[in-house]
Amino acid sequence: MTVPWLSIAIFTPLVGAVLTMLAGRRQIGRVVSLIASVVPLGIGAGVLARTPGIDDFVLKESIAWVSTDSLTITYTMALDGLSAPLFALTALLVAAAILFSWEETKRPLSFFALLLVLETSVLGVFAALDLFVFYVFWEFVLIPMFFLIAIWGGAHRRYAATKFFVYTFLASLVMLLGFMGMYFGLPDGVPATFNFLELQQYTAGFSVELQILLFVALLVGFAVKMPVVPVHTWLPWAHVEAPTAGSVLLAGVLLKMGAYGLIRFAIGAFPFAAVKLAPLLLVIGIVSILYAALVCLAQNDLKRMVAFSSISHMGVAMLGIATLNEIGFMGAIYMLIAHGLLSPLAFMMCGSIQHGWGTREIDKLGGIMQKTPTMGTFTMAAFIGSLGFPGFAGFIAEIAVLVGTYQAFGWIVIFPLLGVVLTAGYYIWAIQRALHGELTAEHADSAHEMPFYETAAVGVLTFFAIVYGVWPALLTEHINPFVEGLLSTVGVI
Amino acid sequence: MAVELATWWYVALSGTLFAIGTWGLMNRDNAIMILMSIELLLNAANINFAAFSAAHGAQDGFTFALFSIAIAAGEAAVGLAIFVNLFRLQDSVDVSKATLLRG
Amino acid sequence: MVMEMIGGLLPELSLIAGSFVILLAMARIDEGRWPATVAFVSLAFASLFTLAQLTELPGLGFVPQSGTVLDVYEISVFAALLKLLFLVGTAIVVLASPGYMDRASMQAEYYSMLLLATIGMMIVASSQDMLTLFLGVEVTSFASYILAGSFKSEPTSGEAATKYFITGALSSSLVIFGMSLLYGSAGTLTFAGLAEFWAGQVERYASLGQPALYLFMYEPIQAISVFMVLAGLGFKLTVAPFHMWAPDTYTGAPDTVASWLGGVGKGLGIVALLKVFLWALAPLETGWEPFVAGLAILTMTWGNLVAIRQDDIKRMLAYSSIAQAGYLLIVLPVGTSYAIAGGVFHTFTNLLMKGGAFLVVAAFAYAGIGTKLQDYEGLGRRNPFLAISLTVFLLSLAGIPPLGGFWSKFVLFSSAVDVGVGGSWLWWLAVAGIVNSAISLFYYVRWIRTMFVETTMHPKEIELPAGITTAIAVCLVAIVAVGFAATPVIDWGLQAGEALLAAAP
Repeated sequence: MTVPWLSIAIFTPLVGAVLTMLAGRRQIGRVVSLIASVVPLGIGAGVLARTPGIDDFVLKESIAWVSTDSLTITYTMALDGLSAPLFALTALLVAAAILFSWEETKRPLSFFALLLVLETSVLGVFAALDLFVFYVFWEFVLIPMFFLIAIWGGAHRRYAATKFFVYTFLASLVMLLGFMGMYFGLPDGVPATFNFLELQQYTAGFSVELQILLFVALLVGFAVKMPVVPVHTWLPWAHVEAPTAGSVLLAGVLLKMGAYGLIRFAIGAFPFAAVKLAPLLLVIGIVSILYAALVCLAQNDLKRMVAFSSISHMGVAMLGIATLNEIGFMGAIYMLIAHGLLSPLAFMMCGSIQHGWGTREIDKLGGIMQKTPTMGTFTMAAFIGSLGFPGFAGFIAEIAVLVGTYQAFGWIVIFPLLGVVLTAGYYIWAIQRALHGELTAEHADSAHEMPFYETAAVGVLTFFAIVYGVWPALLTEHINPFVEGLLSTVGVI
Repeated sequence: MAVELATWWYVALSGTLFAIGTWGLMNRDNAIMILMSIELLLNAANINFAAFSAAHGAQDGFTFALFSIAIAAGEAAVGLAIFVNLFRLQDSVDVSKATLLRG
Repeated sequence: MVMEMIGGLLPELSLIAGSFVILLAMARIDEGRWPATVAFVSLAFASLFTLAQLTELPGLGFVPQSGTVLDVYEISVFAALLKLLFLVGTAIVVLASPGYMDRASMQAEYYSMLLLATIGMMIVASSQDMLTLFLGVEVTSFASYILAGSFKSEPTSGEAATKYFITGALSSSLVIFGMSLLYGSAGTLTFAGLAEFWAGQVERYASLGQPALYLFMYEPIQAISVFMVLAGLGFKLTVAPFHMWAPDTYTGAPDTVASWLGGVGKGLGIVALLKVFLWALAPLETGWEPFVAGLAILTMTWGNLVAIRQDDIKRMLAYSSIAQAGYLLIVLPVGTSYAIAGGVFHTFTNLLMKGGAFLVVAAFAYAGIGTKLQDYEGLGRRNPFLAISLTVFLLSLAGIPPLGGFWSKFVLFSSAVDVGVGGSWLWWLAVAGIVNSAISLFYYVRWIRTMFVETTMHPKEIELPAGITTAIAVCLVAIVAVGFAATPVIDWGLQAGEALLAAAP
């Protein structure tokens, strides 16, 4: 009997959550939770390292869950070149978030347990290949996240948590409607199934209207989660009010779920509709990039600025998807990983600055570099990494998407280029005002450096952001086979 | 299955009784009047059953009417019990005075 | 012959025996918890016999698995499955009642009436003609009027009973008057005979080249009869706009009674509607389909929108229960065996989650905690078990996977999509259901947030009787477990649906 490594990786954090709750004391609970989060990290990293160039599903598991005359659901899980890096990223970020919150004082056991429950559900999302199982994990993500925001959040946490929950729940339900349509739209005589690998063989045969209708239903669910303008309004609230670990996971993995679903399920099932609606995706992507960048320029709260910059970066990913060519797709997927490392890094630095300086408002800060050099250096790394500086992972992603856009749409590449300039603008301006500037801040006297556990967490993320920035082949060897496989089904390569 | 024209006069009567009963149930505040209205409503249906049963030449309508009479008795008994308790609680059988539950 | 008849009626007879034993013994024994024990034992026996009707239990071969008793009372998978759900639901309420009901002056009657109300619902589930159905509806109604007034010395309870009685009497009158007109048209009262009559009518119009809907125009008496029955049974299911009694009754009645009415009692209306509309009136489907579908959308939307602004948890649950009635109503217009499976499934999950939620309210009330939003602040700290249970029930009501409520709603909504892909407009029912689920999450979240986010001034522990804790734990475990093992429930539901549809032409 083969060992179900994938299920072990997914459900270890859940067991860890129970043990953490039972631990009784914070000193024990946090160690338990860190160990539980390292297990899936090990398995995820093992998959990436042991399989050079994943070009098929690995660690596949499939057992029947519900089998009745009218409803068939299988628990089908596997990883491939698209999901394996995201799987490992999730595990890495949860471990980093636990480390970062090492000294959490408000109900610490529940806090760590919820982080682990969140990890289980997100890992499940990335591994599930049965649409129903995917939906169950997808929706379950909301519950731990809701409590993380509602209990440990900032001043407006009640509003932010409710808005996040209800907004994304409604969008997911529209997506579920699309899944139901795919299931019941299967031609007569085909055994009904939610297994995506089997569904995929028939969905291209649906009528054109049905294909576009279902694609739009899926797009609604995924676009809200990404999020892109104009369905982004839950994100600033959720991000700003969430505790740092919550923001880290929101930006690092929850947003990735949207883009992941769009690439795997929406485009995988309805390539024809994707070609038809590519202009729509293009417009959504460009509007997100430019709108969010402009909003960023006006922000005074560092965390709010980073939150909006996430929307801008997800716009880049959407643009890469809209190109429907190999380099654009590669860039979009690379952006998911790059942003998944850099944006959590930036959020952690916002948290550190809040702890160390007592405020996140740019005009009250100044001279961080001078007074607290470690904090300043990492913030600098997070910001210049986010703006797409060469040497960081974000650079590779942006270049790839821009090249892809030029290949697919020609001169339209001017708009995302303008977005890149704006992004550079607001980040550099923030660096100038907050990191350098004069040491006049009222909190400057009491400001202190970041503690070792925070340094360790951000150090790990910075390390990976640079590794993937200077050695892209580490990732592209996994991504490219997937993109080629996907585009061969799209038939536009 | 055709029902003779004459039968429809019974239906007209029962319809009128039903309308009066409904009006009384909705507009009367006195619990006793409400009970009387309920009796009217149930007996309107009984007239129908008896008339149709005769018209169809079948027995099942009469059977239903018999059961219905028993049900009406039960309804009155339960209703009276509830109204007596209401009287004990608010010293009045005026149901419009029961206004604790709103929203 | 006689033995078979008795064998077929054993579930009902057990409950009747239990109910009468309580009523007779009450005059002689007045202390202690014995009525609850008697009620529970008779429910257990009835469940055992019903289970024997569903599966072949060794040693219970004298219980027939299908057939009819005296041509008026059917024994089928459909009837037996629903009876089993009702029995289990009532048993949970009985389990929870000792302790909470101690302040009632008439405890023995309370348990006796619970059993009688359940008998009425079982009669409805087995009915084959209008008379039996009506008798069942009335037995349940009478018993539940009395149940609502169980706290005799409390004005709110008396008021709840009064309002419930008046609207209940009106709805029963509508049903019986509608039935009398149906009888006048068709000359028969059996569902099979009625279905045959309507099939003939529809055929007659078809031969004239006119759609069945015209029948309602040319023969208004027939239309009136159908709509009177729909409205009357709609009252029982709390279908908007016939729902107005529910919030007042649920709020004023004792919490365990509200739990029974909102959980198990929901089954009365939906089973009666299923029997009448998918059997007796099935040939007329094109005629009533748009109205019932419209009522479903109206009911779920109305219930959810009004529930948003409630700051009393019992009223909130009452309005949310109206919304659940709207979801259940999806079954009728869709009308496939898969949809009926969804209806049965949702009846089951509803009695666990809605009933469970009301039981949590009962437990809090027992501990002296009010029903307003501010009373629920910080309860997550004072009693984590109750707060987590209520959270799970509310999330399940909203339809968050993998809880049971998600599954039953999924089956209901996807049945609408199923016929929708085939070209019917009914997939809008699924859209309406989905939008409503999001609305409902909005107000459920308010209560969850209040319990966990706000801090309380009184960090006093809450102590509870063992019975109610057990009952809530049973609901909690069941609603979670059914989410992981839905196969048997859906399977049984499908069998029940096929049994019902096989009876219809």
